[in-house]
Amino acid sequence: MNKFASVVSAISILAVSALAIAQTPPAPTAAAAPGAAAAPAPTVDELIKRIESRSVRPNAGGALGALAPANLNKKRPAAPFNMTGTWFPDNSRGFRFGPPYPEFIGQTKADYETGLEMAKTRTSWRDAIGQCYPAGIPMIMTRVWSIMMVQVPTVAVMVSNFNNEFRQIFTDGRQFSDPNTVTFTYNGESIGKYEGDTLVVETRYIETWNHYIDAGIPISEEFKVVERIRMLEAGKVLEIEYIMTDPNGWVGEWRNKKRWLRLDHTDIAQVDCLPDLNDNIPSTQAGRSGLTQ
Amino acid sequence: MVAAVLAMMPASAHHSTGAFDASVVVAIEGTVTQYRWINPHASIKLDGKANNGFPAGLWTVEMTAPTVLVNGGWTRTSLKVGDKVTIFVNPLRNAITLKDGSQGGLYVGAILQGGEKLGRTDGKGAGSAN
Repeated sequence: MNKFASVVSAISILAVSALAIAQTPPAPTAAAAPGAAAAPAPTVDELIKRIESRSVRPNAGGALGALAPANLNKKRPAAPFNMTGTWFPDNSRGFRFGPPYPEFIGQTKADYETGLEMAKTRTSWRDAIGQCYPAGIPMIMTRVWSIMMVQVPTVAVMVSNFNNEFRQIFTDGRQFSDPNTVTFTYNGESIGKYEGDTLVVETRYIETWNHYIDAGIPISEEFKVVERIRMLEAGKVLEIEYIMTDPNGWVGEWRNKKRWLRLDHTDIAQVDCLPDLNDNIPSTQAGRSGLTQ
Repeated sequence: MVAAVLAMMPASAHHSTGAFDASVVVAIEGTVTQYRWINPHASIKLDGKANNGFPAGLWTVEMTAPTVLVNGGWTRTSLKVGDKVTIFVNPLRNAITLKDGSQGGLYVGAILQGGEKLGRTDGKGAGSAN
Protein backbone atom coordinates (compact mmCIF):
# COMPACT_ATOMS: atom_id res chain seq x y z
CA MET A 1 0.00 0.00 0.00
CA ASN A 2 1.51 3.34 -1.00
CA LYS A 3 1.58 6.40 1.26
CA PHE A 4 -1.45 8.00 -0.36
CA ALA A 5 -3.50 4.82 -0.06
CA SER A 6 -2.46 4.52 3.59
CA VAL A 7 -3.63 8.02 4.33
CA VAL A 8 -6.89 7.44 2.52
CA SER A 9 -7.38 4.20 4.40
CA ALA A 10 -6.68 5.87 7.74
CA ILE A 11 -9.08 8.68 6.94
CA SER A 12 -11.72 6.15 5.96
CA ILE A 13 -11.31 4.28 9.23
CA LEU A 14 -11.56 7.53 11.20
CA ALA A 15 -14.64 8.56 9.25
CA VAL A 16 -16.33 5.21 9.77
CA SER A 17 -15.42 5.33 13.48
CA ALA A 18 -16.86 8.80 13.82
CA LEU A 19 -20.02 7.69 12.08
CA ALA A 20 -20.25 4.68 14.34
CA ILE A 21 -19.95 6.91 17.41
CA ALA A 22 -22.65 9.14 16.04
CA GLN A 23 -24.99 6.24 15.36
CA THR A 24 -24.21 3.97 18.27
CA PRO A 25 -26.88 4.02 20.94
CA PRO A 26 -25.87 4.12 24.61
CA ALA A 27 -24.25 0.89 25.76
CA PRO A 28 -26.84 -1.68 26.89
CA THR A 29 -27.20 -2.11 30.59
CA ALA A 30 -28.38 -5.71 30.43
CA ALA A 31 -24.90 -6.97 31.29
CA ALA A 32 -24.92 -5.23 34.67
CA ALA A 33 -24.53 -7.44 37.70
CA PRO A 34 -27.76 -8.98 38.98
CA GLY A 35 -29.40 -6.69 41.46
CA ALA A 36 -27.38 -3.63 40.37
CA ALA A 37 -29.35 -0.54 39.49
CA ALA A 38 -29.50 0.23 35.76
CA ALA A 39 -27.61 3.36 34.69
CA PRO A 40 -30.05 6.17 34.07
CA ALA A 41 -30.67 6.99 30.44
CA PRO A 42 -28.96 10.22 29.35
CA THR A 43 -31.13 13.27 29.35
CA VAL A 44 -31.92 15.14 26.16
CA ASP A 45 -29.51 17.88 27.22
CA GLU A 46 -26.77 15.31 27.80
CA LEU A 47 -27.39 13.80 24.39
CA ILE A 48 -27.23 17.21 22.71
CA LYS A 49 -23.99 18.01 24.56
CA ARG A 50 -22.56 14.67 23.45
CA ILE A 51 -23.45 15.35 19.82
CA GLU A 52 -22.05 18.88 19.94
CA SER A 53 -18.77 17.63 21.38
CA ARG A 54 -18.33 14.65 19.07
CA SER A 55 -20.32 14.83 15.88
CA VAL A 56 -20.64 18.44 14.80
CA ARG A 57 -18.46 21.51 15.05
CA PRO A 58 -20.13 24.18 17.20
CA ASN A 59 -19.81 27.78 16.12
CA ALA A 60 -16.78 29.71 17.34
CA GLY A 61 -17.16 30.86 20.93
CA GLY A 62 -20.32 28.79 21.26
CA ALA A 63 -22.26 31.36 19.25
CA LEU A 64 -25.85 30.51 18.45
CA GLY A 65 -26.63 28.94 15.10
CA ALA A 66 -28.48 31.07 12.60
CA LEU A 67 -31.66 29.05 13.03
CA ALA A 68 -31.58 28.74 16.80
CA PRO A 69 -34.82 30.24 18.14
CA ALA A 70 -32.88 32.36 20.66
CA ASN A 71 -30.93 33.88 17.77
CA LEU A 72 -33.94 34.33 15.51
CA ASN A 73 -35.83 36.05 18.30
CA LYS A 74 -33.12 38.59 19.21
CA LYS A 75 -34.16 42.18 18.73
CA ARG A 76 -32.65 43.63 15.56
CA PRO A 77 -33.43 46.49 13.21
CA ALA A 78 -35.85 45.36 10.52
CA ALA A 79 -34.28 44.40 7.21
CA PRO A 80 -35.07 46.88 4.41
CA PHE A 81 -36.42 44.08 2.19
CA ASN A 82 -37.11 40.38 2.17
CA MET A 83 -35.74 38.24 -0.65
CA THR A 84 -37.89 35.23 0.16
CA GLY A 85 -39.16 34.01 -3.16
CA THR A 86 -38.23 32.31 -6.39
CA TRP A 87 -36.01 34.27 -8.75
CA PHE A 88 -34.70 33.83 -12.26
CA PRO A 89 -31.55 35.50 -13.57
CA ASP A 90 -32.13 38.15 -16.20
CA ASN A 91 -29.36 37.09 -18.54
CA SER A 92 -30.47 39.30 -21.40
CA ARG A 93 -27.11 41.08 -21.16
CA GLY A 94 -25.15 37.86 -20.76
CA PHE A 95 -24.63 35.36 -17.97
CA ARG A 96 -20.93 36.04 -17.75
CA PHE A 97 -19.21 38.64 -15.59
CA GLY A 98 -17.29 40.25 -18.44
CA PRO A 99 -16.54 42.03 -20.62
CA PRO A 100 -15.43 44.46 -19.47
CA TYR A 101 -12.64 42.52 -17.79
CA PRO A 102 -10.02 43.80 -15.38
CA GLU A 103 -6.31 43.79 -16.16
CA PHE A 104 -5.39 40.15 -15.65
CA ILE A 105 -1.91 39.29 -14.44
CA GLY A 106 0.40 36.28 -14.33
CA GLN A 107 -1.05 32.84 -15.00
CA THR A 108 -4.58 34.25 -14.92
CA LYS A 109 -3.71 36.48 -17.88
CA ALA A 110 -2.30 33.52 -19.77
CA ASP A 111 -5.36 31.41 -18.98
CA TYR A 112 -7.72 34.18 -20.04
CA GLU A 113 -5.91 34.49 -23.36
CA THR A 114 -6.04 30.74 -23.86
CA GLY A 115 -9.78 30.91 -23.29
CA LEU A 116 -10.09 33.53 -26.02
CA GLU A 117 -8.16 31.32 -28.43
CA MET A 118 -10.33 28.31 -27.60
CA ALA A 119 -13.47 30.39 -28.13
CA LYS A 120 -12.35 31.23 -31.66
CA THR A 121 -12.61 27.57 -32.61
CA ARG A 122 -15.56 26.89 -30.31
CA THR A 123 -13.43 24.35 -28.48
CA SER A 124 -14.44 23.35 -25.00
CA TRP A 125 -12.10 24.81 -22.39
CA ARG A 126 -12.12 24.01 -18.70
CA ASP A 127 -15.69 22.75 -18.80
CA ALA A 128 -15.56 21.97 -15.10
CA ILE A 129 -19.28 22.62 -14.52
CA GLY A 130 -20.06 20.16 -17.29
CA GLN A 131 -18.03 17.58 -15.37
CA CYS A 132 -20.19 18.09 -12.27
CA TYR A 133 -17.82 20.39 -10.39
CA PRO A 134 -19.93 23.00 -8.57
CA ALA A 135 -20.31 26.26 -10.44
CA GLY A 136 -19.44 28.12 -7.23
CA ILE A 137 -19.63 31.81 -6.56
CA PRO A 138 -20.12 33.87 -8.71
CA MET A 139 -21.14 31.59 -11.62
CA ILE A 140 -23.81 29.76 -9.62
CA MET A 141 -25.72 33.03 -9.51
CA THR A 142 -26.23 33.18 -13.27
CA ARG A 143 -27.02 29.58 -14.25
CA VAL A 144 -30.10 29.47 -16.42
CA TRP A 145 -32.22 28.07 -13.60
CA SER A 146 -34.35 29.53 -10.86
CA ILE A 147 -32.96 30.34 -7.43
CA MET A 148 -35.01 29.84 -4.29
CA MET A 149 -34.31 32.35 -1.52
CA VAL A 150 -35.55 32.19 2.05
CA GLN A 151 -34.67 35.12 4.30
CA VAL A 152 -35.06 35.26 8.06
CA PRO A 153 -33.49 37.85 10.37
CA THR A 154 -30.31 35.84 10.90
CA VAL A 155 -29.61 34.30 7.52
CA ALA A 156 -30.62 34.30 3.87
CA VAL A 157 -30.58 30.85 2.30
CA MET A 158 -30.26 30.49 -1.45
CA VAL A 159 -30.74 27.21 -3.31
CA SER A 160 -30.10 27.24 -7.03
CA ASN A 161 -32.27 24.91 -9.01
CA PHE A 162 -29.04 24.03 -10.82
CA ASN A 163 -27.84 20.95 -8.93
CA ASN A 164 -29.53 22.42 -5.84
CA GLU A 165 -26.32 24.20 -4.95
CA PHE A 166 -26.68 25.96 -1.66
CA ARG A 167 -25.54 29.29 -0.21
CA GLN A 168 -26.19 30.97 3.08
CA ILE A 169 -25.58 34.59 3.91
CA PHE A 170 -25.35 35.14 7.64
CA THR A 171 -26.84 38.40 8.84
CA ASP A 172 -26.72 37.77 12.59
CA GLY A 173 -23.65 39.88 13.25
CA ARG A 174 -21.13 37.04 13.35
CA GLN A 175 -17.49 37.35 12.30
CA PHE A 176 -15.77 35.33 9.58
CA SER A 177 -14.43 31.95 10.59
CA ASP A 178 -10.85 31.42 11.66
CA PRO A 179 -8.86 31.20 8.42
CA ASN A 180 -6.69 28.51 9.95
CA THR A 181 -9.52 26.06 10.48
CA VAL A 182 -12.19 27.08 8.00
CA THR A 183 -13.08 24.69 5.19
CA PHE A 184 -13.02 26.36 1.81
CA THR A 185 -16.15 25.68 -0.27
CA TYR A 186 -17.28 26.56 -3.78
CA ASN A 187 -19.74 29.16 -2.53
CA GLY A 188 -17.49 30.29 0.32
CA GLU A 189 -18.55 31.86 3.59
CA SER A 190 -20.86 34.86 3.21
CA ILE A 191 -21.63 37.49 5.81
CA GLY A 192 -24.05 40.29 5.13
CA LYS A 193 -24.76 43.68 6.68
CA TYR A 194 -27.40 46.24 5.80
CA GLU A 195 -26.34 49.70 4.67
CA GLY A 196 -29.50 51.72 4.20
CA ASP A 197 -31.52 50.02 1.46
CA THR A 198 -28.64 47.75 0.46
CA LEU A 199 -27.56 44.35 1.74
CA VAL A 200 -23.78 44.24 1.47
CA VAL A 201 -22.43 40.69 1.42
CA GLU A 202 -18.78 39.73 1.61
CA THR A 203 -17.76 36.21 0.65
CA ARG A 204 -14.38 34.65 1.48
CA TYR A 205 -12.84 31.19 1.74
CA ILE A 206 -13.78 30.08 -1.75
CA GLU A 207 -12.53 26.71 -3.02
CA THR A 208 -10.27 27.07 -6.05
CA TRP A 209 -10.12 23.49 -7.40
CA ASN A 210 -11.66 23.44 -10.89
CA HIS A 211 -13.44 26.68 -10.04
CA TYR A 212 -13.48 29.19 -12.85
CA ILE A 213 -15.18 32.44 -13.81
CA ASP A 214 -16.53 32.89 -17.33
CA ALA A 215 -14.31 31.04 -19.82
CA GLY A 216 -11.72 29.31 -17.66
CA ILE A 217 -10.52 32.28 -15.60
CA PRO A 218 -9.08 30.76 -12.40
CA ILE A 219 -9.25 32.13 -8.86
CA SER A 220 -6.78 31.99 -5.97
CA GLU A 221 -7.46 31.49 -2.29
CA GLU A 222 -7.36 35.27 -1.89
CA PHE A 223 -10.38 35.68 -4.17
CA LYS A 224 -13.15 37.67 -2.48
CA VAL A 225 -16.55 38.82 -3.63
CA VAL A 226 -18.61 41.72 -2.34
CA GLU A 227 -22.23 41.80 -3.46
CA ARG A 228 -24.36 44.91 -3.08
CA ILE A 229 -27.97 43.73 -3.20
CA ARG A 230 -30.98 46.00 -3.69
CA MET A 231 -34.65 45.26 -4.26
CA LEU A 232 -36.26 47.32 -7.02
CA GLU A 233 -39.46 47.63 -9.05
CA ALA A 234 -41.83 47.05 -6.11
CA GLY A 235 -40.11 43.81 -5.20
CA LYS A 236 -40.08 42.30 -8.68
CA VAL A 237 -36.40 42.90 -9.36
CA LEU A 238 -33.33 42.03 -7.34
CA GLU A 239 -30.18 43.84 -8.38
CA ILE A 240 -26.77 42.57 -7.36
CA GLU A 241 -23.57 44.45 -8.08
CA TYR A 242 -20.53 42.16 -7.91
CA ILE A 243 -17.19 43.58 -6.84
CA MET A 244 -14.58 40.85 -7.16
CA THR A 245 -10.94 41.06 -6.12
CA ASP A 246 -8.07 38.62 -6.40
CA PRO A 247 -4.60 40.13 -6.01
CA ASN A 248 -3.11 37.03 -7.62
CA GLY A 249 -5.36 37.24 -10.68
CA TRP A 250 -6.05 40.83 -11.63
CA VAL A 251 -5.45 44.47 -10.79
CA GLY A 252 -8.07 46.27 -8.75
CA GLU A 253 -11.76 45.45 -8.78
CA TRP A 254 -13.72 43.42 -11.32
CA ARG A 255 -17.21 44.86 -11.26
CA ASN A 256 -20.43 43.66 -12.87
CA LYS A 257 -24.10 44.22 -12.18
CA LYS A 258 -26.81 41.53 -12.60
CA ARG A 259 -30.57 41.40 -12.14
CA TRP A 260 -33.02 38.71 -10.99
CA LEU A 261 -36.73 38.67 -11.71
CA ARG A 262 -39.28 37.39 -9.22
CA LEU A 263 -41.30 34.40 -10.39
CA ASP A 264 -44.49 33.72 -8.45
CA HIS A 265 -45.79 30.73 -10.39
CA THR A 266 -43.01 28.19 -10.16
CA ASP A 267 -40.92 26.28 -7.63
CA ILE A 268 -37.53 24.67 -7.87
CA ALA A 269 -37.08 20.91 -8.19
CA GLN A 270 -34.43 18.37 -7.32
CA VAL A 271 -31.53 18.37 -9.77
CA ASP A 272 -28.47 16.16 -9.35
CA CYS A 273 -25.28 15.76 -11.33
CA LEU A 274 -25.14 11.96 -11.54
CA PRO A 275 -21.89 10.05 -12.05
CA ASP A 276 -23.10 8.72 -15.39
CA LEU A 277 -24.89 11.88 -16.46
CA ASN A 278 -22.20 12.84 -18.94
CA ASP A 279 -22.52 9.51 -20.72
CA ASN A 280 -25.66 10.95 -22.26
CA ILE A 281 -24.45 14.52 -22.66
CA PRO A 282 -22.25 14.58 -25.75
CA SER A 283 -20.93 18.06 -25.24
CA THR A 284 -19.50 17.23 -21.84
CA GLN A 285 -18.01 14.01 -23.20
CA ALA A 286 -16.28 16.08 -25.83
CA GLY A 287 -15.35 18.64 -23.24
CA ARG A 288 -13.52 16.19 -21.04
CA SER A 289 -10.28 16.82 -22.87
CA GLY A 290 -10.62 20.49 -21.96
CA LEU A 291 -10.04 19.88 -18.27
CA THR A 292 -6.42 20.51 -17.44
CA GLN A 293 -6.24 19.97 -13.69
CA MET B 1 -14.02 41.59 -31.02
CA VAL B 2 -12.81 38.39 -29.43
CA ALA B 3 -14.50 39.31 -26.21
CA ALA B 4 -17.70 39.78 -28.18
CA VAL B 5 -17.39 36.24 -29.55
CA LEU B 6 -17.04 34.94 -26.03
CA ALA B 7 -20.06 36.87 -24.91
CA MET B 8 -22.13 35.38 -27.71
CA MET B 9 -21.40 31.78 -26.79
CA PRO B 10 -24.61 30.15 -25.65
CA ALA B 11 -25.44 30.34 -22.01
CA SER B 12 -25.82 26.87 -20.69
CA ALA B 13 -27.51 25.40 -17.70
CA HIS B 14 -24.89 22.70 -17.30
CA HIS B 15 -22.07 23.41 -19.72
CA SER B 16 -21.19 25.09 -22.99
CA THR B 17 -22.86 23.80 -26.14
CA GLY B 18 -20.05 25.19 -28.28
CA ALA B 19 -19.00 21.64 -29.11
CA PHE B 20 -22.02 21.30 -31.44
CA ASP B 21 -22.07 22.68 -34.96
CA ALA B 22 -25.18 24.84 -34.98
CA SER B 23 -24.86 25.41 -38.75
CA VAL B 24 -25.55 21.74 -39.55
CA VAL B 25 -28.67 19.70 -38.93
CA VAL B 26 -28.57 15.93 -39.20
CA ALA B 27 -31.76 13.89 -39.48
CA ILE B 28 -31.46 10.51 -37.79
CA GLU B 29 -34.16 8.03 -38.72
CA GLY B 30 -34.13 5.12 -36.36
CA THR B 31 -35.36 3.21 -33.34
CA VAL B 32 -35.30 4.59 -29.82
CA THR B 33 -33.11 2.53 -27.49
CA GLN B 34 -33.23 4.83 -24.46
CA TYR B 35 -35.14 7.92 -23.35
CA ARG B 36 -34.20 9.59 -20.08
CA TRP B 37 -36.51 12.24 -18.69
CA ILE B 38 -34.29 13.60 -15.95
CA ASN B 39 -32.76 16.81 -14.62
CA PRO B 40 -30.66 18.64 -15.58
CA HIS B 41 -30.87 17.28 -19.15
CA ALA B 42 -33.16 14.78 -20.85
CA SER B 43 -31.56 12.59 -23.51
CA ILE B 44 -32.38 10.14 -26.27
CA LYS B 45 -30.43 7.23 -27.72
CA LEU B 46 -31.52 5.87 -31.08
CA ASP B 47 -30.09 3.45 -33.62
CA GLY B 48 -30.58 4.24 -37.29
CA LYS B 49 -29.38 5.97 -40.40
CA ALA B 50 -28.30 9.61 -40.67
CA ASN B 51 -28.29 11.98 -43.64
CA ASN B 52 -25.76 14.59 -44.79
CA GLY B 53 -23.00 11.99 -44.87
CA PHE B 54 -23.02 11.26 -41.15
CA PRO B 55 -22.55 7.68 -39.98
CA ALA B 56 -25.37 5.25 -39.35
CA GLY B 57 -25.57 3.51 -36.00
CA LEU B 58 -26.13 4.61 -32.43
CA TRP B 59 -26.64 8.32 -31.67
CA THR B 60 -26.90 10.04 -28.32
CA VAL B 61 -28.99 13.17 -28.33
CA GLU B 62 -28.61 15.83 -25.65
CA MET B 63 -31.74 17.77 -24.77
CA THR B 64 -32.47 20.65 -22.44
CA ALA B 65 -34.18 20.35 -19.05
CA PRO B 66 -37.57 18.63 -18.87
CA THR B 67 -39.16 21.76 -17.43
CA VAL B 68 -38.19 23.61 -20.61
CA LEU B 69 -39.05 20.74 -22.95
CA VAL B 70 -42.59 20.67 -21.57
CA ASN B 71 -43.08 24.15 -22.99
CA GLY B 72 -42.26 22.67 -26.41
CA GLY B 73 -44.79 19.86 -26.15
CA TRP B 74 -42.58 17.11 -24.73
CA THR B 75 -43.75 14.83 -21.94
CA ARG B 76 -42.23 12.04 -19.90
CA THR B 77 -44.00 9.57 -22.20
CA SER B 78 -43.34 11.18 -25.59
CA LEU B 79 -40.94 8.33 -26.43
CA LYS B 80 -40.58 4.71 -25.47
CA VAL B 81 -37.96 2.14 -26.36
CA GLY B 82 -38.71 0.66 -29.77
CA ASP B 83 -40.42 3.73 -31.22
CA LYS B 84 -39.59 4.52 -34.85
CA VAL B 85 -38.73 8.22 -34.97
CA THR B 86 -36.74 10.87 -36.77
CA ILE B 87 -34.62 13.11 -34.58
CA PHE B 88 -32.95 16.28 -35.87
CA VAL B 89 -29.69 17.32 -34.22
CA ASN B 90 -26.74 19.66 -34.47
CA PRO B 91 -23.83 17.19 -34.55
CA LEU B 92 -20.64 17.44 -32.54
CA ARG B 93 -18.04 19.46 -34.42
CA ASN B 94 -15.36 16.85 -33.99
CA ALA B 95 -15.82 13.17 -34.71
CA ILE B 96 -15.63 12.21 -31.05
CA THR B 97 -17.73 9.25 -30.07
CA LEU B 98 -19.15 8.65 -26.64
CA LYS B 99 -18.23 5.80 -24.32
CA ASP B 100 -20.72 3.49 -26.00
CA GLY B 101 -19.39 4.35 -29.46
CA SER B 102 -22.37 6.52 -30.32
CA GLN B 103 -22.30 9.75 -32.28
CA GLY B 104 -23.38 12.85 -30.39
CA GLY B 105 -25.86 15.56 -31.25
CA LEU B 106 -27.86 18.39 -29.71
CA TYR B 107 -31.63 18.15 -30.05
CA VAL B 108 -33.28 20.44 -32.61
CA GLY B 109 -36.55 18.66 -33.43
CA ALA B 110 -38.34 15.34 -33.69
CA ILE B 111 -41.00 13.47 -35.64
CA LEU B 112 -42.50 10.97 -33.23
CA GLN B 113 -43.82 7.53 -34.15
CA GLY B 114 -47.35 8.84 -34.43
CA GLY B 115 -46.28 11.63 -36.75
CA GLU B 116 -46.34 14.42 -34.18
CA LYS B 117 -43.70 17.06 -34.85
CA LEU B 118 -41.84 18.78 -32.01
CA GLY B 119 -39.24 21.52 -32.37
CA ARG B 120 -37.84 22.28 -35.82
CA THR B 121 -38.15 19.49 -38.39
CA ASP B 122 -37.31 21.38 -41.57
CA GLY B 123 -33.63 20.51 -41.50
CA LYS B 124 -32.63 23.90 -40.10
CA GLY B 125 -32.18 25.47 -36.71
CA ALA B 126 -29.89 25.48 -33.72
CA GLY B 127 -30.55 23.47 -30.61
CA SER B 128 -30.27 24.74 -27.09
CA ALA B 129 -29.30 23.18 -23.82
CA ASN B 130 -31.18 25.87 -21.93
